[in-house]
Amino acid sequence: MGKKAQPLEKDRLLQDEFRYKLPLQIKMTNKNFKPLNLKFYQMKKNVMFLLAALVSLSLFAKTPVSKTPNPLFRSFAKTVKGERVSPLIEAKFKKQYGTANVSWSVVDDMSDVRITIATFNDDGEQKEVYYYDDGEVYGIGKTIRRDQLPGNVTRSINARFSSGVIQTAYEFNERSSATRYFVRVVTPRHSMIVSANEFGDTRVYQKERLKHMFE
Amino acid sequence: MKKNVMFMLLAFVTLNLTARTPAGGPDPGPAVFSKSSAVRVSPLVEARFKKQYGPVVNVSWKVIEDISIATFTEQGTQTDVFYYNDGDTFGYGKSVDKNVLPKAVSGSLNKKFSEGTVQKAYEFKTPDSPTRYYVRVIAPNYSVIASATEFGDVTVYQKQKIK
Repeated sequence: MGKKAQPLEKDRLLQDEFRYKLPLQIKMTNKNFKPLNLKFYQMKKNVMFLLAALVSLSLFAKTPVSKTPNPLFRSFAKTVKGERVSPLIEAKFKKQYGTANVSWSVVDDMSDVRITIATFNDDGEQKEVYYYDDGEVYGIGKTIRRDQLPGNVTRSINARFSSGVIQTAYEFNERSSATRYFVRVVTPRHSMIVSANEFGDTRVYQKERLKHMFE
Repeated sequence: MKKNVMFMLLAFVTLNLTARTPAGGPDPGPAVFSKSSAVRVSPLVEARFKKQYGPVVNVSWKVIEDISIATFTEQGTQTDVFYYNDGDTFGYGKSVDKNVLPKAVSGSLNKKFSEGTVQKAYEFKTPDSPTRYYVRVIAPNYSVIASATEFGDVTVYQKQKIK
């Protein structure tokens, strides 16, 4: 039991370490945006990147990873666990999910993007709800088994990375677009964080070369 | 177009939700909405399907309001793929167990239909919006076809009194 608990603790430490280094892109500015859509357009890109980063954490934390520092995480912003969350967000969460046992993380890069993440257990499944500062839900995510990925997603990924193996998967449902699946794909030479939806849209967020023993 | 397609989807979902549940009497849902026909689909759509799922998949087709619906079994689950005439995918749908609806969805539905019970649920995914769950809710005095997302949006499509 004790021995089994050790890797989990190690993973948690690793996750904290990564979270501390989380990146956020500088807020995109474009004067042509209409005020009504400003929030959406400005945040969309940042948040997608942020999400990829967060999902990377989730995916990394649950898979064996080398101790070599990942360059992607160097410029990452700060994730603070247990930081006091806005009462507005807390109230929104309680209204929606009741008094579930919840832990909070706040991702903040000192720019305008700040996402508060509620992690809780929903009928035996760990879920994350991502909130904007104003209490609006940005998205809802959960880790899924790779065999739970929709067939189309698996096919798209296999077609693009024929020699790759999907290691872990994370489902993310967003208000304004199709459900996206973030996966960690490992090929003989690379390890990647990839996202795909059921409509053939596949994106690579992070690709790193694997170092082999005799290289 | 969007409105038509939503209506078509509702029609299909209504058929699905009503056809598989004891309605407790004649249900006007299918009569109102059923325009589906087992006609031959466009070769373009068929080709798209075969390209996506392989030529050997056992598939049945329906056409409703210019939308072709392929129904087949994937990983043990009956799945529907909705195609536009030009072969583009409009969405994916499948029946889901009412007990596995996301908590936010069942919470919204319970709040809206406090006396009702979800009988059947159908999950539908489109490219530009979040996953939507279509449900048939039965209350003591009425039955409803409604849809909800995890983000709290609930839409009621059809409500009928139960005599």
